[in-house]
Amino acid sequence: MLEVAASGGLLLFTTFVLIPLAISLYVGFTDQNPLLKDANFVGLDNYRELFGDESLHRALKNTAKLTIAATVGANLGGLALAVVLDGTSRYYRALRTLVFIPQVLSAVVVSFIFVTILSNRGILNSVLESIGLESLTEPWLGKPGLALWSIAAVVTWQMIGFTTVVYLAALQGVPDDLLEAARIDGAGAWKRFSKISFPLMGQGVTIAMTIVLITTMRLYDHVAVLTGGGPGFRTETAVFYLLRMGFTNNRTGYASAIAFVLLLIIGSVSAILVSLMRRREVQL
Amino acid sequence: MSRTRETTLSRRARLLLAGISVAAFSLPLYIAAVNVFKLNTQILRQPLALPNPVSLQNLVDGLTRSDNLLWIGLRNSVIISIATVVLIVPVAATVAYWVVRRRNRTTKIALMVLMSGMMIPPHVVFIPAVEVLEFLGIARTFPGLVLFNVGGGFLSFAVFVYVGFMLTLPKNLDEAALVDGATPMQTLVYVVFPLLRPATATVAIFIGLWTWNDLVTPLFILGPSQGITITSGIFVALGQYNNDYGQMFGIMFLASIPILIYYLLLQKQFASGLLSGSSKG
Repeated sequence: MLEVAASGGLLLFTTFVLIPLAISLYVGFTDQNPLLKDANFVGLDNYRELFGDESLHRALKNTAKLTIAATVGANLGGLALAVVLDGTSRYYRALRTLVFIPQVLSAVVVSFIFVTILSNRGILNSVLESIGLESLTEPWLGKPGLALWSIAAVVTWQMIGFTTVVYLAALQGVPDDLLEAARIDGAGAWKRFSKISFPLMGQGVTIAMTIVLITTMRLYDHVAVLTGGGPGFRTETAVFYLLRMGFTNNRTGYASAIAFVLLLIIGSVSAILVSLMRRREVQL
Repeated sequence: MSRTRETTLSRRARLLLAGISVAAFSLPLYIAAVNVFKLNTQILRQPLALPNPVSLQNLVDGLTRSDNLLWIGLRNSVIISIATVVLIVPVAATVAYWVVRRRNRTTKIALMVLMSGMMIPPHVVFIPAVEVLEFLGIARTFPGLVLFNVGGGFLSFAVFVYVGFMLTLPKNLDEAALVDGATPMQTLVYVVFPLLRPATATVAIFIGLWTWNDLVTPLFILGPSQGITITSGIFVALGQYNNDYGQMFGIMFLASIPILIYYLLLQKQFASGLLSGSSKG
């Protein structure tokens, strides 16, 4: 009876993950297009095309840049804020409540807030003009090259809400008597943090790094709102390009091949990171 | 005496540093909040100033749009989020109980496959998932979206949380029930499930939040024309009103209020759930 009940969940997972994966593995070897009737088997053509597809390569490079920037930025930022906010009074509690808000808002809302700030006639440029710094105004979301880093900044800002909470909990898990003993032995604040607290925060670092990395590797929403992939497809991420090929350009066959390659890349990077980070954790 | 004064001083300095850091970090939220109550003319001229005059025009505009974006979006999002949570809780708890209590080769393989689901971006299965839903006759419907959410998007996470929590429960509790003649299903429903409340809270809070905030799944599984959620709705609508900042701020504010209230009420569970949910495994 338990087996029967449990198989309901497994059946759902099979229907919506495993079977679709099998379909896309198969469809990736065809030239399927929902607008045309028959799909032909084309062997490895899609995979050959994918190796020479510069738009895909750019999208992958963008994803890598965003992932590295957001992972580094959100973890350093979150760690710094956590150290600053590691107090016990109700003032600190109120401040922590504020810091987590970006993380509960949707990526769509957060990105629209930043559209009003970063767009050409947005708030940042109008503030710069009003204080006489016209020379610093930029089309933050419209200039190739700059736009990608604007997206990275927005993602980083939103993820800091999350990393701060994780690092705060990790900091508060460090035993007080260890820190007290070090203080008595004359260790300063920086030394106590770098030699005791930080090495004991291994699990927090693993969680924060992994979640930020997995989230940014599949980034879509922020890009869709902030730049729509533009200017000139320059800020497309891998997932954005995949969905454009599959749903906008109706190249289901080719998109399926891309989906499979992305699955391999994203899956193995996440798996490698998790196992690397786990090994570095210090256990008490 | 002088020593206590020094520590009070450094305590104040620390709090000041914390306040300044958070103020700088929260500046975009401040901008979003004050501009909700300003007229368009003031937004661009004095984006950082407090509203003068205080205007409710942006909120009224958002609530009285002719397409009823907010009302329809809110209603749809409430239905979809609740249905997803109500369905995934028993499904995931049952799978987790089976995995933890049976512990054989089959359950080990099943758990491994389920956990690898967390590494799979749902985007890679959207195209074939639409075909599967079409085959089942529920493409572009709410039931189709909810089933995809449960099976495709969130089941791995929910099972992960439940398995992690169940491993901490003493085994003899449900063994006692089994000895007393209860079936495994009865034991799960009447003995184990009530003990899983913290895990259920984590699953409900996060999956509720993620479903509410989800853009891509409703956009591609439901299709932009077939009913909108609050998140996909403001995405589609605000794309067209990019220059009417006043209305954008109004709509975003109204759309975020439910989620902010939800967060403020369940704040403690948010933080603890985040850690218990992601630290075991």
